[in-house]
Amino acid sequence: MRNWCGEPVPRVDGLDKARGRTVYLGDQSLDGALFGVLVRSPVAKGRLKKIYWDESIDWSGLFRVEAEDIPGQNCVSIIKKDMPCLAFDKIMYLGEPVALVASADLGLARSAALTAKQDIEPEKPLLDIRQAVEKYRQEPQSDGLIHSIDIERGDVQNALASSDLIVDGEYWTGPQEHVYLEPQVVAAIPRGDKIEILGSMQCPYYVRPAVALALGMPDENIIVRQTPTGGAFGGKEDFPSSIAIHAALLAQKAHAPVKIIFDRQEDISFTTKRHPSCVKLKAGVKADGTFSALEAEVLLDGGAYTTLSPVVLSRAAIHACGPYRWRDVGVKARTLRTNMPPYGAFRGFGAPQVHFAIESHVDEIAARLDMDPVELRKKNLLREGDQTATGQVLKESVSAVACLESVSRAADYAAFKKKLEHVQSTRHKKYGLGVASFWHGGGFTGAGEEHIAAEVAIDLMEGGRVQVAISSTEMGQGERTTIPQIAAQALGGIPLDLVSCDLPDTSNAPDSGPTVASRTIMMVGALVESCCMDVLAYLKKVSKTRDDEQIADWPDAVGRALKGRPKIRFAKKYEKPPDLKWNEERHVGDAYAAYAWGAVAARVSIDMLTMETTVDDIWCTVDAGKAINPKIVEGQVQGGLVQALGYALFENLQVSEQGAFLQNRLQNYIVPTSMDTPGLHVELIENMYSRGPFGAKGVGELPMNGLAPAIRNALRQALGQAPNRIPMIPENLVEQGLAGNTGG
Amino acid sequence: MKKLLELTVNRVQRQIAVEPTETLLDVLREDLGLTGTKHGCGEGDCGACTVLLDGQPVNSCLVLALQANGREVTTIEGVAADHDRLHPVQQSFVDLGAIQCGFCTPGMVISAVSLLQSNPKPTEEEVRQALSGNLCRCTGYQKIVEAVLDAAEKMGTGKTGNTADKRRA
Repeated sequence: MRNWCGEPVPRVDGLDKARGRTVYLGDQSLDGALFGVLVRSPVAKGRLKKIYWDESIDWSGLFRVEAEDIPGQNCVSIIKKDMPCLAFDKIMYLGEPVALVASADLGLARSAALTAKQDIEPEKPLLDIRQAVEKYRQEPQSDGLIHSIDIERGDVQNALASSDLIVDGEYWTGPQEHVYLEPQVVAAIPRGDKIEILGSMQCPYYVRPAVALALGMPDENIIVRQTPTGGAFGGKEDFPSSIAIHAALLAQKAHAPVKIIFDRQEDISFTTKRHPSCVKLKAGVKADGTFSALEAEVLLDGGAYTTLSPVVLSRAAIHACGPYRWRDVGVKARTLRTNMPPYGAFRGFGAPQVHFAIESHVDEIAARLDMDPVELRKKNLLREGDQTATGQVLKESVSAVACLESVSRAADYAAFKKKLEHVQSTRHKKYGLGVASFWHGGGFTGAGEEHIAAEVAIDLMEGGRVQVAISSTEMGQGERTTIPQIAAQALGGIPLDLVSCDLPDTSNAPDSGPTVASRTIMMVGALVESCCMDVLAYLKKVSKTRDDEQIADWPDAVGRALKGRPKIRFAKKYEKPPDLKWNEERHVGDAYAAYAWGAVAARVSIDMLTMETTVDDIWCTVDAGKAINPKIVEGQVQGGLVQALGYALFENLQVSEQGAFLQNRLQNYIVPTSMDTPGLHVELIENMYSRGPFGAKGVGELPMNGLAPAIRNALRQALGQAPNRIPMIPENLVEQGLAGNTGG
Repeated sequence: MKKLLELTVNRVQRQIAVEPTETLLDVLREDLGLTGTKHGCGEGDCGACTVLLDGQPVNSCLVLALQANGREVTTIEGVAADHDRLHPVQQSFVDLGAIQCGFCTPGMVISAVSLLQSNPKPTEEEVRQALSGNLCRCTGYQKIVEAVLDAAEKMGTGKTGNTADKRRA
């Protein structure tokens, strides 16, 4: 028996990727395919009356689609059905799709699209979270709300009134673009009464019903196949549904395959981004540093339509109190509507925004108490048996303190603090070391897993081969390697190369849910493990192997089960553990089946002349339970940290008066390069989760949560006062009055 | 009007009629079917389209095809000694976990191969510098840098085993 779980085996797709042989959709030529392009609104808000096309050009070989041509419902269905596939009356953001054009020649399609003249009555747009927050605070009940969530525990007002110290703060975060290296791409191919969709995506079973509804076709007539996906990070969660519909509409009109491939500028300008946020905190603390009450107002800019904002808001609200014990809590969370492209899913899903607020705030509390920030955290971090803001009792796998202790040891926190006293005031450069603690709930929030009711299948095939059929996608995170590791071990440690997990195709793979929410290993992996146990029990029966024995000849046992058939399939469906309870309306109960934990320390220097911040070292310890493949887990943590580094220091998106992002190219939207990235010292703690596969929890989003506030806290130490807004680019630091003090 | 382009790609002589506006990237991907070279931004910012032109790394999206006339191009498909083998850099990328989504990988490998040709024993800082024109959004660069240093060491000592290939056979 081989223990595959815990082995850093090389990725199954590594060789092809290293050789450039992996065929992404943009690399595939489809026979007779046309290119589809989108006609977009030139204003951020208004009434679209009519679209006029230039009929003097030659339209033969060109195809166009407007809202009135949509055979089914004109909406991109996700949580609500408020976002049209093509706007037909109300224009809600600049660049909103209003029509589609296709041609075999991409250049021709683009120039034909440019001839569209839109008769629009413009209206005054609301473009900025600052304006939206101001409006909300003046009239909280206005129609500008996309979603509201309140969490109440105890009596927060009373508790605040009886606290020894009250600390107030307000924190702002900007939008963030995913910059997956492969831009958005989909193709639609008509196949008789069916349509096949190919695409770079995270969630084939989001795309399928969305296309079916818009095309007025039954779900099973839409076949969705994921193509190799060059990064996603949430940016390919809901967005591909929208362009899959566009491609399908054009393909139906032209009776030909249609491919839509975004160039980088279109991708940055009009796809989803991380929600900008404003978080106001009021913390009540005892004189000895014990946290008692926290009041939080969490405001997110949702953009023009609902999309995924309600669930992003929910995760933000639940994580807003941080991984700490508060006896009394009052969280008011709202998503505000603006005339910007809808903000959407991005690794962390609402949690990075609120972590920036609470983890900055903890350092403010420490400063007011004149306490060490690490000691203050240790005093208040959640421990086993504690209750979270939603009243969830943490029964197992809690490692907040262990992670923080590991990081402060690794960063030699105490020694650095001592050293700082000597160097701080003598240079034009200032130094700081900041820490942050963080957590992340694995799987869907609340009853989400129950609603999705994930299914997995295991196919046994000749030669003892095993195929795991799931709709979970490989997007770089390593699912095609780690899921087979779980299966091979659960089947008794069979050779790993007998097990495969292909890119999903909805005509074969059951709906194991979307590839989001750090749920693929923790939730889908657990189902795969349990399905494999059924398979193993069955094979032991047919091969007359005792329960406590290994199957001696695996291919033979599988052959006996097959009885000449090419394959047999075993299936397993998610069943909610009876002890998990959740009240969605009141947001009370077991918000997540388990949490992953982490702590991070950042050592920074800031040049007081240019106000440029450099991060010199990052230490990060996480507990995501069993690391099925430690090398892949480390890669997830390192990659997440560097996305968080960009979020904290570089990635700036400003909005023009017309409602366009000013930084819409990689020349001015700056993501970290190898030169901006310091040494990353990652440690893993494995605190097993009893229901996870071999003890594993989710790790994908976790490392995005803590680094931005750790850098901010390091700057606080360096400057004596701190920014309350990210990105912490020099311009923002100057605007916040943090420049000018060269210390000498 | 199309013009005749003559160049050597991965050690093979090629003649192609191209439009003067076509980029080297277009010709490699569309005319020669060498899709290992990726189109990530088309503006020379991301490095996914990096190839070697007369041994020097270039963003092929910024090179007009006709500028490559009479010159030698190496793409990811041609970095290894032959079709069935891996270049030591590719091998180290696979072994050390330097690959995630894979979209930046061909360009990264090319930049690394170019570095090790001119500087067989680079420091970590030199590796970071050499890769700074290649964006990666998945890995945080750490394992990529480690893989390049690993390849340098193995090329220096002549220990460039091809384990992954054997495993596959």
